[in-house]
Order: sequence, then structure tokens, then C-alpha cells
Amino acid sequence: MDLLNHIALGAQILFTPINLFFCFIGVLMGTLVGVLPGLGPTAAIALLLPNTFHVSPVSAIIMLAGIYYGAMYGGSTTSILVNIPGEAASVITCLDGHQMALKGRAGPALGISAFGSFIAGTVSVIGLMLVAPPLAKFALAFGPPEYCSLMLMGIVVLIYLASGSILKALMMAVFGLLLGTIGMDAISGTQRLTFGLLELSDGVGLIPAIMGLFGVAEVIHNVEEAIRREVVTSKVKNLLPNLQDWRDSFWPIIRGSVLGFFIGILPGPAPVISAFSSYAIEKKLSKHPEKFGTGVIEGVAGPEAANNAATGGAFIPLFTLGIPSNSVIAILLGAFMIHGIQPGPMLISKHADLFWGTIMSMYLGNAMLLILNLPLIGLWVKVLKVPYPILFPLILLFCLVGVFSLNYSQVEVALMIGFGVFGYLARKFQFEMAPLVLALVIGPMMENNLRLSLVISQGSPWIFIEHPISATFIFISSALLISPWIPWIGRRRKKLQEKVEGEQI
Amino acid sequence: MAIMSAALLIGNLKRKGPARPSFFPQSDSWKRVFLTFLSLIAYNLLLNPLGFALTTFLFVMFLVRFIFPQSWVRTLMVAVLSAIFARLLFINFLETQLPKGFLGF
Repeated sequence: MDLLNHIALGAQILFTPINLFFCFIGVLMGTLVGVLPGLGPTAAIALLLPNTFHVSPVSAIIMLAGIYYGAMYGGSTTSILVNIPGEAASVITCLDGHQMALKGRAGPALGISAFGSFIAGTVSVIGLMLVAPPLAKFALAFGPPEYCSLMLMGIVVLIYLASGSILKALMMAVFGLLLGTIGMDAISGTQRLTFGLLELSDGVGLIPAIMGLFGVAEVIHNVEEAIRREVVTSKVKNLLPNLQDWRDSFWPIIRGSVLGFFIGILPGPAPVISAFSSYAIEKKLSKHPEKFGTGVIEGVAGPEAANNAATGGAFIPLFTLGIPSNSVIAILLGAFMIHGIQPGPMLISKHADLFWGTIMSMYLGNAMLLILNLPLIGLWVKVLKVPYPILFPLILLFCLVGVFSLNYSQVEVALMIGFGVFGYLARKFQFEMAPLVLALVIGPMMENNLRLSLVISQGSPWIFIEHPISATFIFISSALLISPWIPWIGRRRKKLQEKVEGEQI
Repeated sequence: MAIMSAALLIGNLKRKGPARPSFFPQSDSWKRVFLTFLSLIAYNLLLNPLGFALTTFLFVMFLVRFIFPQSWVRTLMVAVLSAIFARLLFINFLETQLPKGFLGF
């Protein structure tokens, strides 16, 4: 009974006052940033990361993971009540959720999204628990060439899934790789592109980059025009969905959970994509597709379940391969490294306490979120009423202090502002940030593996094709890059794009 | 890699995209955007000489008052409260080492 032992181990770690406390703080913060539009989980995790330095790694990871899935709960509240997505992943919830709220059914909408999220969260944690250990064993067979090709595939898949032009996404990825080369050369130790700045010898910091690209750029974008928000002010009551609601949304939740989990494993903004595809599937399977968009409960339950399940799935590449699949996971990866934990296939066996403790905390965290979100919904509605003119200086302040306290370096703050300007302009021209961030994280790892492979093969690039696993990855990624030029596949991708139009990361 | 990105850039410039919406949604947007960036830079520069609490106070006051103009009473209230609260949160609770400046707080 290996599994039971592990679960017991995880519970043992979780049920200590300090870890329970951090789990609670995590989900609370997650809900808060989820509710607030313009501050996502990416920025929030980056913000809190420096403050976790003096706690144990397990507590830190428990808290940071809590923020991630907590934000998915919070985001739906804003979508339903205000019709502004609190989170990119809950864009789709606006469609039917807000309509339900207008019809006076805000209660059941909030209720079903919390319950759906809870069920999906649990399903995906169970999936993570079952899938991750065997996959990690498989990944032990990976050497540098396999890793290098796998990372290449990760970037290519993300580019392929980009909502805008592939060329633009490719440009962002290459720019990210270029930024990743800044700093000390890991193998020969020479300084590259640092311009004599000591702060750059460690590479471009991930946190300043993310805070700039997501935090500052987002705020600046919102500052452009005064947004008016109309909160549905009528009393939210009857949070428990009735029997008919349950009957309507049971299968959407299950389908959303499974779908979300598998999409979560793929690189990219998984919660967003899974929510969109769940909505599309429910609409297709529904007996009354024409009613979607007018406030049907299936349109809330499915996507909400899917985006939560995706967060669980997204942890799989992190725990098994040590490769981030999106920007939130990328920061978590950074957190691992800061706490001296080497991510990779050995993680589950070497740091069993960390892995199982985090998994158990995700069960408990989901239960906590259910409690936080249902009875306390009034509190979150109040948070929503804080006017933006007062809110945005505080968000900026948090970004500034967060980055500064990381290394007490003004260069990094300047870097963040620079990334803020860049992110703002890039957003104007519809460039996506996700490929850039992923490439920035993966770039140095990929470079190390590339060079190690070449050392192994004594300079022959054929090593990537001679190893069968690596050759498969290379084949898939080149197929993905070529496919848009084959007419009928290209057309299908366009269609997919039209479906997910309006999606913003 | 540099060659590749240069090639991409040229390729992108050649392509004609659909007409973009005008750069700023409102005529006075650029002022707000510019001022916000300016205040971020100012915060970075003033942090060491003035100290955390004072800089925070000035920063929040400026943004609340001038980006979306609020009344002075409200501005001062928000700025004072956020400076005190941030000071308690970051320095006393989270034990972040932030510069104290010449006034020593």
C-alpha cells in the first residue's frame, strides 16, 4: 500500500499549524487576487515569493500553489457579478454567469462555480497523484538530448496555441531566448551581454520580468481609460443550486474536469484554453445550444470546472520533468530553485515530503476555498467595490516593493519598469507575453542541455535524431511549425482561433 | 538567433495587418500613461534618499490625486493609510529590509 503510506506522509506534513496557516493564507490571497481584476496569480505569486524566503520550502510551495488555484475560484466571482473577468481564465464565465446574475440567479451561478471548481480541483489532484509518480520514473530515462528536444517542443506547442499570429508568438519566444542568454555562461563562465552590470551576471531576473510584463503593463493598460464597473448589487442569496441545476451541470462538471486536466499538462495558458474548449463542447453537446449566452448553468459549470482542473494538470510537468508549462508554474519553479530544491524526475522520490505535502494541501485548500467562497461571498463583493483609482497605486506599490525586496537592487526595479514599458507596447500590437516568459525561463535550461548533448556527442548535432525519444519530440515540433502552411490544417486553426477570440493573457 | 529575429522583423514589417484601432482609446490617455511611468521611475530614484515610508506616501498621493483626480481629503487619507500600513506590513511583519532614509522611518 505504497499510495496510502504516501498519503499519510503528506497528511502528516500538512497538519502542522504552520503549514495549515500557510495553506490558508495562500488560498485567501489567491481568492483576493482572483477577485481583483488586473492582478493575476502570476503577479501575486511573484509578489509573495520574496517573502517566503524565511519559511521552509514545503510551506512556501503550499502557499504559492494555493494562490494559483485560489485565483481560479476568485476570478469567477468577478465575472459573474461585474461582467469583467477577474482572471483571464474566467473570461468565458462572463457569458452565461453574468446573464444569470442579471436574471437574479447570481446565487446559484456562484454556488455552482464554487462546487464545480471544488469537484474539478479534487479530480485533478487525484489525477496528479496517480499520473505524476509513474511519469517521473519514465522521465528518469531522459538525458540531456531528450530534455533539450522536450523543451523545444514545449515552446513550439505554446507558439502554436498562441491566440494571435504565429509569427508574432515566434518572435516573442526568440526574444525570450535572447534575453535568456544574458548573464554568466554556465559552462565556460564568461560574462555575456551584461554591460558590466553585476546584477545582470545572474541573468535577467524572472520576477522583475514577470512583474513588469504582467503587473505593471496591465495596470498601465487599465490606466488609459476610466473603467466603470457595475456590480450587481442585488442581494446574493440562495447560494445552493437546486436539484435541477445539479442535474444540468453534473456532466458538464465531470467533462470539464477531465478535459481541463489533460489540457493542463500541455504547455500554454492551460486554464484559459480549457475553459474555452469546455464551453465549446458543452454548447455542442447541449440539447439547446441556442440558449447558451443567455444564462444557462451548464455554461458556468463546465468552464469553471475545466479551469480549475487545468491548474492541477499544470503541476505534472513541474513535478515530473522540472519543466514549467506556463508563467505561474515558471515562478513556482523559480521558488523551488531558490529554496535549493532541484526540480526534475528525482523530485518525487528525493523530496517526497514536498510532493505529497503539496498534494494533500491541494485537497484541503480546495475544501477551504469552498468555505471561503460560499458563506463569505459578501466580503468579496465589498472588495470589488474598492474604486480603481485607489486600487491601482497600491498594486503598483506592491510590484515595486516586491521586486526591490528580492535583491535590494534598484537595477532590478528599473528592469521591471523597462519590462512594463515593453509589455505595454507589445500588448498594443497584440504580441503575447506567454511565449516570452516561457522562453526566458526555459532558455538557459535548454542551452545547458543542448551544450551537454553536444559534449556527449562530441559536436555532432545528429544526437537529437539518433535518440528515439528525442527524435519523436523533434518530429512533433517540426510538424507543428510546418502545419500552418498546409492549407486545410491552417484553416482549421483559424477556426479554432475565431472560437477563442477575445482571449487575453 | 539574431539573424532569425531580424528576418522575422523584416517579414513582419512587410506584411500588412488589418487596420489597428487608434493607439489610445481616449485623447488624454497618453498623459496618464506617461505620468504613471514617470512616477514609477521617480519612486525608484527617491527610495534610497527619502526612505520607504515617505516615498510611498508621495507615490500614492501623486497617483491618486493626478491620474484619476480624487478629492484632496480622500487622497491624503488613502496615502497616509497606505504608507503606514505598508510600513507595518513590510518592515514590521515581513521583516523586509527597506531603506529608512534620512528621517529614520
